[in-house]
Amino acid sequence: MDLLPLLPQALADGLLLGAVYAIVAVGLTLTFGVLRIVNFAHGDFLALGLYLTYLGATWLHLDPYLSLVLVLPLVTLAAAFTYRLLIAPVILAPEHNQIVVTLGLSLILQNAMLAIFTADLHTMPSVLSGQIVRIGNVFIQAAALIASAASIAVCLGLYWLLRSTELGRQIRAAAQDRDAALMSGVNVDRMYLIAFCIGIGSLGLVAPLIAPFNYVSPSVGSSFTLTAFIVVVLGSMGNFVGALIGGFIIGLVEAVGGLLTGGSINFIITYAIFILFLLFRPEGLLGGRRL
Amino acid sequence: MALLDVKGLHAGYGDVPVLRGIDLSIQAGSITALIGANGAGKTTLLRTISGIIPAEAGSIRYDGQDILGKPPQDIVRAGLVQVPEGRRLFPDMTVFENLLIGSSSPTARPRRDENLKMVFGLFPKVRERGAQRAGTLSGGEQQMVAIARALMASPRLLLLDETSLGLAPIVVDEIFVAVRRLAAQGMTILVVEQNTALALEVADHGYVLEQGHFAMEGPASGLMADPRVKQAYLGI
Ligand SMILES: Nc1ncnc2c1ncn2[C@@H]1O[C@H](COP(=O)(O)OP(=O)(O)OP(=O)(O)O)[C@@H](O)[C@H]1O
Ligand SMILES: [Mg+2]
Repeated sequence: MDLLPLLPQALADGLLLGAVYAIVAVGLTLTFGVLRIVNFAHGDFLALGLYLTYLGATWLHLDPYLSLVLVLPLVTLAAAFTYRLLIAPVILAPEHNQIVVTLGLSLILQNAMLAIFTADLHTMPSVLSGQIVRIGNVFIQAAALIASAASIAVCLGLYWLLRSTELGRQIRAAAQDRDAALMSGVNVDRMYLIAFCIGIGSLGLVAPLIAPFNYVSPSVGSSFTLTAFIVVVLGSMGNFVGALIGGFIIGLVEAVGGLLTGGSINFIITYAIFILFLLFRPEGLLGGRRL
Repeated sequence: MALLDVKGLHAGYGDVPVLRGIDLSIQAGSITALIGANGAGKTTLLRTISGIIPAEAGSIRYDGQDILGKPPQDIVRAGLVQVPEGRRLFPDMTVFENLLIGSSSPTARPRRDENLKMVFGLFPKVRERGAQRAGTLSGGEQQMVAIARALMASPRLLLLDETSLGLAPIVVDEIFVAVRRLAAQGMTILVVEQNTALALEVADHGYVLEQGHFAMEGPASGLMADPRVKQAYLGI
């Protein structure tokens, strides 16, 4: 079979997927880069956002796009509580203690969602579901286009925030040298809280946007966490631009890989490339430059 | 009146006690030297004063207020500012950004422009290097930026930890000329040094830290002439 005519479609799919991966990974790399915490529960907050969107649809009959105004603040609030109750107490603890905490949080969140929502898959249709944009021979879901555009916009917005604002500068200071930041009068604890809330809050923004063309189940977060980790390691842990580029690379690899293999062993290809990459460039794409 | 008054201070790391009963009094407007061998606990004392590590016992009064247990940013805000050992600049930021971080505290923020002018006057090199990444500066330039960053916080009491370490004598001179100028303008300064001769030369008053407490204390000139100090710290 000649696959070439299908390539533009796969590339478009890959870029759309990549943009969403990028924002999920940027959130993860932000929490790692600033707090030096490896958050294994990252994707579960996306699942939380999706379930909140689902509740908005079933209880309040809200279109996913409308539920954004509820989901974004609620997920951000959940992040704030998580920081205060679970993360702040172990912020200076050895790494393995922190890992136990975030892994435990992931288990708790997933099991709570399983208990409340069962393992059934739910969809969250929107007025835009099924709307297709056609560009030449490439067909794109309108909802996916919106989600990707918003993801890219948020990534760029966060980059601007970190680079060009007083708050961003203080966040970077806390990330680069905690003690020196403290001695300069930076409220490091507050910077950690804000970075954590931004990193996870961005998932609260993404969730309603990807809801129209995704399903939600209690374990959907795990696959996002895994992908985000691959992206983040690929782009060098804690590196903002690296996570952005890495997101697009993994999105493209998945889409083109799916085209070549018919989608069945898609993940295997991603991991194989990832592992090969790590063998040759263990420090990641952009090396150790920090936020 | 004492600007800083430390009494019976005990602190350390986990189970390891480092400070065992520190009594330290710093007069407003003076330069105080704190000397002691490698590992005596000088840095630990400064970190405890700045609120970076907790104390187990004792009290720290600054400007009449108990500051023990207060968060570090509140201590900076009150005007007690430290230039850390090893300079600790934000390496991936420009020199200018480092200075701006120095004025993060709400009291220093409105005085940003005024303080920038002041530090550029004190260290013209810092202005020249403004757009450069801090991690790429020479050791001496980094030390100047570290001091300038601390000055951006409008300190009343400045703690200098191992300022001269690893720097060429000519650079050390340049920096200590600036330190003297700050003192002459009324700033209270604590210099922590392994370079005992230098510290006692600039200081009015001195303390000798040994094994977690002060073994000796007195006017700097007296310590300089003390046979024990001469033998142990000045190598004479
Ligand atoms: N983070 C830490 N954890 C455990 N022990 C520490 C830590 N930092 C310092 N110490 C120990 O505390 C003691 C005092 O160290 P400190 O850095 O205060 O000494 P110092 O007088 O500043 O020495 P130097 O002249 O080398 O700077 C040393 O025995 C040191 O090994
Ligand atoms: Mg020291």
